[in-house]
Amino acid sequence: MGSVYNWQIGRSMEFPHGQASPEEQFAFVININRCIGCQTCTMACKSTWTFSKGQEHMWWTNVETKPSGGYPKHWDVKTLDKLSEANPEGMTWAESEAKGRRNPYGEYQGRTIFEAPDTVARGGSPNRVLGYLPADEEWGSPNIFEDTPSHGPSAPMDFGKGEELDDQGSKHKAWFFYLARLCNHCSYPACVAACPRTAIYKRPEDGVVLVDQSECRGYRKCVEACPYKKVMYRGTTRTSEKCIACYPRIEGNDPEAPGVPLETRCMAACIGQVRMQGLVKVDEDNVWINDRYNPLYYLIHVARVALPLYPQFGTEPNGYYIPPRWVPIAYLEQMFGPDVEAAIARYRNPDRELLAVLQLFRRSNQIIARYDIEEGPKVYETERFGEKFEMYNDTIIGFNRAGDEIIRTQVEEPVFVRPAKHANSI
Amino acid sequence: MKFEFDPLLIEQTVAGAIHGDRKLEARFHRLVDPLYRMEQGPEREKLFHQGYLAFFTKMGLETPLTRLLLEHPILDERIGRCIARRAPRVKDETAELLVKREIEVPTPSDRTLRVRISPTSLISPDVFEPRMRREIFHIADMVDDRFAYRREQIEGLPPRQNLIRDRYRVLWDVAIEGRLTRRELGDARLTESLRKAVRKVFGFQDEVRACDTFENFFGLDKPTHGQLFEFARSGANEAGVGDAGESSTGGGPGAPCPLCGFPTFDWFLFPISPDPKTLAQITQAHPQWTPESGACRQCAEIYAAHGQAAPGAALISNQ
Ligand code: SF4
Ligand code: SF4
Ligand code: SF4
Repeated sequence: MGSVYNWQIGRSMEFPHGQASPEEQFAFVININRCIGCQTCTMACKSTWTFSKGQEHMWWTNVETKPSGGYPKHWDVKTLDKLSEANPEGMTWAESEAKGRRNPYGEYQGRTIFEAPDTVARGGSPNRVLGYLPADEEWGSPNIFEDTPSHGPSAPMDFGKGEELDDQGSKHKAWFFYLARLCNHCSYPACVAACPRTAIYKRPEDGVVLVDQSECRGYRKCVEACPYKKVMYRGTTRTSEKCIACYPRIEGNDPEAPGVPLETRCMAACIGQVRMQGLVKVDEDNVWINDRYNPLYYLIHVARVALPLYPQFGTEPNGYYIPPRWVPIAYLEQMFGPDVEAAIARYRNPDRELLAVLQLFRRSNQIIARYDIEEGPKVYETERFGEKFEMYNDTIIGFNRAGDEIIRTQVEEPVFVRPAKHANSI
Repeated sequence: MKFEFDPLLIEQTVAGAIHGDRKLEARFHRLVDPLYRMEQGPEREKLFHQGYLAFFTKMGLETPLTRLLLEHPILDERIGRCIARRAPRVKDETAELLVKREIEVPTPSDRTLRVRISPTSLISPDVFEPRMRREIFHIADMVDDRFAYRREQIEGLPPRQNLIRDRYRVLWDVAIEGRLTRRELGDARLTESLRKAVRKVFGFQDEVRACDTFENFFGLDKPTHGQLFEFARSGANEAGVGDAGESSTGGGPGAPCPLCGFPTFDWFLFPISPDPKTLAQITQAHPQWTPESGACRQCAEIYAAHGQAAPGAALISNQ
């Protein structure tokens, strides 16, 4: 068992393989506040990669309604249950003195899934990773509990009342939100750790995690180990399959934009414009290197509004979420870690730069490698949650990997007035 | 009785049974790993099935089912074949008696017992056994001359038919639970819920009479179909009883379609000999499929359409 550094939990941890890091890392941000649960992303992936025989149950990306839904059914509740068993003292976090890129959320004091394998011991010997194998039927209903709120007569689970949505103190009695998920192409992938044949690997160039189909022998250890349940077994080939991060697009081999990386299918298809995906630079400990004007770096490390999903699992997932404002903080802390309340406060009252960067979501299919802001006039001013809020009509410009401008937009949405001669026509 | 286990059921049961047991996994993979190097096709499929079957038999994974069947020696005398299919979910597990319709006095070879079992059940039979035991008890009654089961002509309006069918079902369940209890295989909670069910379906009876009804049927050692049916009709002007022994197609309302995997309430009833072109299309994509596994209406239509279209369609389903 080696020791690796996991910045999301602010400490070193046990991992079956040694410390390694890719040249660049695949990562994405999803703004939960704006996801409308339309499932366009789900279908974009399905119709591209998993429409064949034996893949009927596979949804490499899916959108589930929290707190009740999940695909496979109750995947997170089940993993959290097991992790709670391994952490009788609780999954607690300690404040750190100086928070930086190596420990922005403090230090997780509980055990991760790699540090508690003995919780699951079958056939006499402990597993390499704490996990469980979902039963066949758990994969059968990807939309189960869709749009079921947390509170009300038909609620299967009750996680309390929602949070204040505005400064008038109005609270919703019932709440739910859409959680769009795909493989997190984790820096310390549980699937890689569990495979007895090293058939799963992380690409050194972009950190994409792939299953080598010629090496897989259907042990399903990866299915059992991945805490996000994003590896799936295919009965017709008797091997496991997973999201491939649409790698031909990431590599820049897509005919749509030859030579420059394109965002993946599920990102590019997003109707709600809530997804942004990119490639980020990391050091030898997988800690992000300062890349101030990369929009993902900005959202995660500067504005700190986007947080990893279940960081306490320990895989250092590379999917980040802007948490929903209306959901009880205790629930969100379990899901996104201790920084969630502060992240929501920052998002609720965005500063000038954040407001500009938020305009970049889904403005281009090409991956935005860098942005620039041209300052504009102040157009609005008010007070929100006891704080001053100012809006400037800044212009934000996105550049692709080649340094070419691919998008230019403003904070204030442009208004187009139809000329009188077209007033009554389409 | 000859046994036939669905290859998919065998495969999933073995996979679940060995998962996590290092020694068994190593033995199993020594057997099947070389097959991964073969080209996809029927020969590779056959060898995989043989590998899984060998483990299934060696590990005695059929035992939870065969043990239950041995509780009723009459089943072996009266039924020629038992086919065990995979139930997609535990709650879809059933046992059904299939009898050739046109035959007046069936012989064992005209009778087939079809059970649907979820792969997890054969690995951990604690939950499976009690429920399947009751399913199989119904089948044992049905083939017993003394019980004299027969299909009744259903007359009257649907609400009345449904009521009589419900009463018959509850009385039969009570008569089975009573016999199981005397064999020390009863379930106190189930008995209680049957007591309530009797009160519900015989709503016109007061509490004392409903209690008597329950006790009478619970105490019967040799119930007959006639007794149950006549009592179910009592209080009703029109009579009729449901098709309790008739085979149904598919996995029941809300069960996943075996072709697309989506839950469906709209099962397509395939004729005994479906159109060969449709059949060929389906079995090309799902070799284990048989008409009695059923399919949702959408799948049935899609495969029928592929069957009608010529070679291009085969390519679509082949991807
Ligand atoms: S999300 Fe799961 S499948 Fe994806 S890299 Fe992480 S552990 Fe592996
Ligand atoms: S990145 Fe590509 S393969 Fe992965 S879930 Fe999205 S669309 Fe599917
Ligand atoms: S396409 Fe976008 S808005 Fe629609 S469900 Fe997916 S993430 Fe949400």
